[in-house]
Amino acid sequence: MEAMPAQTPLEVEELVGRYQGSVRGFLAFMGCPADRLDDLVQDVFLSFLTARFEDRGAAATRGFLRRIARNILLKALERDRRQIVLPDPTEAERAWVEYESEDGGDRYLTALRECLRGIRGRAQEVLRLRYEENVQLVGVADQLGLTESGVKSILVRSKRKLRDCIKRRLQA
Amino acid sequence: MALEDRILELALESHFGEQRTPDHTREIVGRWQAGAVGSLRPAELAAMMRALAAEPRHGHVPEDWGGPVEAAPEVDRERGSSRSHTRLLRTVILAACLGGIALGLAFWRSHDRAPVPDLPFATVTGAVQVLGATGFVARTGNSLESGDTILVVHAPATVALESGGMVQALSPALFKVGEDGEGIGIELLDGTLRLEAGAEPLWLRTIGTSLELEAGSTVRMEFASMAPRSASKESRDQSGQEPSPEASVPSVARLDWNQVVIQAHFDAPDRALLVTSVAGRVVVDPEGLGLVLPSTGDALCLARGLTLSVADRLLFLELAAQMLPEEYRIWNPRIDYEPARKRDQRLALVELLGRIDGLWNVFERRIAAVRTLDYSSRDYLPALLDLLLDLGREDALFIARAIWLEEPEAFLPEHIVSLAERGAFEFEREVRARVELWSLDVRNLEGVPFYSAVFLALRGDDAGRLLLEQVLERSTSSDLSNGNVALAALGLEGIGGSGAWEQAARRMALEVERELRKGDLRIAMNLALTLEAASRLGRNGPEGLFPGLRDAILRERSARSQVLASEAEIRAILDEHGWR
Repeated sequence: MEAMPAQTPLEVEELVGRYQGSVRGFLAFMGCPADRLDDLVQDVFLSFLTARFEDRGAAATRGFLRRIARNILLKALERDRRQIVLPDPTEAERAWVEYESEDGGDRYLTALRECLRGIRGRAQEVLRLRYEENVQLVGVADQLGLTESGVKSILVRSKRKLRDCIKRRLQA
Repeated sequence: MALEDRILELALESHFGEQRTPDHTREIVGRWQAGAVGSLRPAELAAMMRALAAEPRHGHVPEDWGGPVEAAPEVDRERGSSRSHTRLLRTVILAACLGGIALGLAFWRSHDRAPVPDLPFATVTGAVQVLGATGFVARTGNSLESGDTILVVHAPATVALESGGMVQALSPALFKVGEDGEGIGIELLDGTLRLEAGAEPLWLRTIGTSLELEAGSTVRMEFASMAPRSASKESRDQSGQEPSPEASVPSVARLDWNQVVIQAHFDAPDRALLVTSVAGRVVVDPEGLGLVLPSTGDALCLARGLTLSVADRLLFLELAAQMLPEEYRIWNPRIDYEPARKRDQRLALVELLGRIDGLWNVFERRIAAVRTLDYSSRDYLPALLDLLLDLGREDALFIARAIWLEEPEAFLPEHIVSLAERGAFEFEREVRARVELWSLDVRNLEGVPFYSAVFLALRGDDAGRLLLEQVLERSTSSDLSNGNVALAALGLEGIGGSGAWEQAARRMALEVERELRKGDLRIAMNLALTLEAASRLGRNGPEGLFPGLRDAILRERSARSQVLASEAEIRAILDEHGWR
């Protein structure tokens, strides 16, 4: 257990490269507004680099970054006077740690990729437009000749299917 | 949206939109470097120079510096870790370095400052800033001129040259670009470190393609500040002599890496110690340089010798760490330690250290040298603060203030409150700032400055009282077991707080019952023992709350948990105190 040594730019690059996805994901998960996400990701790392921290491995580093992220998000919301209900910290921490596990979420994403193969036809197209093309529900509905509520319904069903499939694969 | 749904949503976005995720690496590194170096504005420099001139030594906080929290805390307020602290530290470092600049200016002003285009630097990495000769204005070009200053604030830092050469500074340093008869070169000004190849200082033009200091190298490292002032390049040129270790100076230490020979001298006639040579070896491990000495006795002697020197504080710390018996290695920054782990052990350490003559002078100097250390070496400071507060010496406050200027983030909440109790105005101000910052809104209890709030409340301060009331009002069942809610309730009770403790205790007792019904013995036991410990400590009245009620609760709880295992035993605690 050693305190983090003073970093060189290369070490900082490596650290940021390794954990920025995790920090970004966690902030979004906690409800960080999209327009503040980029700024806060950077702020989290800057705070981390100036904080006292004992390097006890990736899991502890992620945990410490999450703690900073939560504090910074709270302060940003206060500063912006935004009324956003954040999830319960304990529950959020549990859910996030379960998702990230020790592999940074790779296992979950692998399961997702496999489960997506089971989504076919219109549902597959809806997911692609919504998440790959970043098209809003109205746009998706227009492109596929559906109603907005129809698209919404397809998304809800697809996600439920995916969630169940992922759960089975993770438990397997 | 359920948490699981949020995660699926994120995973989908991550899977489909990977290419849209921005990479912040460059921005973060850029901002980090800018923050580490800082921008040297003329007005800021002037203010710092005035502060230095007014109070060149430690022990005084200029009123207009403000407290670290007041500046803008970012993270973990209660522990004092924040970017504002770093800013303060940075400012102090810069200020100290500027002292060196001022001293060196007279010499360097006599030199020609004509542009020297044949010494360009391609990139500057690490915490390095190149300042122009006039007004310390940061230079933005890519060539060095005679008269420029290269300021290395955080080490290691590297200046890469277009030629492929590289200068690497392993400690904060101040270089000056100058010229002699043979061309342009650099020389250190602040006395931190001089690199020499043979008898000559290393000049940029002689470095070749790179200079890397590593294990096994034979570069001699001389701590310039240990040499007499006449050892400056100018005077050496005039005298044609190198500084002699036997010169009548307080002390000289020299080490050759790999095969280390350390000589320690001091000129106090009433001291018997004269360590002329200590065989040791320098190791380079991932954490940096370490010095391994052959025996505790030698190390002790050398440490004593260096104690009387005016110079090598960094070396002293390494030596002091090595000289301690194994069981006191909490002092050693390179070895795991747990502050406040064992009070008896700490007191024994105080006794041991107290037998070393002049130790407190060394501490003072050591603090001044903090700026030359890396993060890993600074981790001893919380332990040092524990020692200072345990010892209760008159100079403890003086030293604590000096540390506060250099390393405010080393202070734990209990350190700050204890020092405020002793009447140190800057700590009282810090306590107040922390409480006022949090009294506006408490969304959750994480990071709430409990100690500070209790301290203020007990002194009749409304901000402290209001924060404690908010804490009690907004605390949830999950907040009850760590002792903070009990501390807040006892604080309110201490100022006649209308049954605050009674209410908190009842809540805790109910929670114990609830956990027992749920069958969670571990949580029930923690709650019951917290309640018991707080109840006992609270009987001593407000003055019993400090120092370290929370630690006391946790300690007592930990000890009792060894013997408490059944539901009946847990209920017996509630019965014993009438909480059922």
